[in-house]
Amino acid sequence: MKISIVFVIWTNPLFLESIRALLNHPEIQLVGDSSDVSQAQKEITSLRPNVVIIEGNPDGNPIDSETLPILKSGPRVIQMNMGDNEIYIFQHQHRTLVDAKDLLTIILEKGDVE
Amino acid sequence: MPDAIKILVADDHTVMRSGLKLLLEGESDFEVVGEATTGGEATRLCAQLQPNVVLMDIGMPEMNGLEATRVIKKENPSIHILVLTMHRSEEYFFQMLEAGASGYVLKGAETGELIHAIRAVAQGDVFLYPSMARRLVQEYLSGLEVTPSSEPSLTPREREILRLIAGGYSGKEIAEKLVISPSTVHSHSTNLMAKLNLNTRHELVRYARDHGLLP
Repeated sequence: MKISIVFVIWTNPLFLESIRALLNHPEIQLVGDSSDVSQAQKEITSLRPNVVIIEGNPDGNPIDSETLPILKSGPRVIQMNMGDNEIYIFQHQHRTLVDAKDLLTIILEKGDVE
Repeated sequence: MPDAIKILVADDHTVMRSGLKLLLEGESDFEVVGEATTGGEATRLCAQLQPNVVLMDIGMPEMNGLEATRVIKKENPSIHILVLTMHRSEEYFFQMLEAGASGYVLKGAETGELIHAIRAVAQGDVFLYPSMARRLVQEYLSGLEVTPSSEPSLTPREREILRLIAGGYSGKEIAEKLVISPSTVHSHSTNLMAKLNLNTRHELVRYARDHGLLP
């Protein structure tokens, strides 16, 4: 059984508690949370979660300069807020080009969402 | 063991609504009897399920929380509405209270505060999130400051005559008591009515009673 390791960055305590209640699942392990992004970055580096859930500002950018380093560190980032039902999913991918044709291949790849 | 507090959660935010349901069901004296995603659904479920407390979001499709609160309080006055919202604006706050809400909690609250608020409103008490309660007190105090200046100013003699009228004295008795002529008393009474925008002696008595001017 594959376990998803999850970390939560939150602003409102009720958001965290709601997520914590919803993630009570045998294949999900909530390894940590923080309301401080800098502290979260350190813990994410140490705990290496597969998924980071970020409670965003309804009026802000889905990913900003504070959360970009988290995305680059590897986990799938799910950004959501308490204002609406929109959910943003980000996945950082890194590849090395061997041939120029590889660029075309990447461009022509179908993503997860059509 | 007393009956559990029956709660309806009305919020169009899927994660919040589902998460709150799970959270609240962890309290032994709470029972979440239903969930609504629109104000209209909340009103229908209230009629059907008769919850003790509705946890009401404001921004919802079809019918917002403000209108839903008005409808629920009109149709089921015994149901207590606890607002749970992101909105910090005074406009929403006062409108929800006027619509009949018993409490106002921001989504930035701690879980313990929300649980305490639900128990408070279920008992018929009022619960206001501290920062919102401060606004209510400020509004009340500003009202107190405005009231005296908006009232017509009465002379000491007019206040004295108003007090005696309220005490049941006739014009003649007041004249004798104050050692002035009955026509002077009549003149003061006429001025009083004009200043206070009143028409009868009975209205003068009621004004004096309402403003603490009884003898």
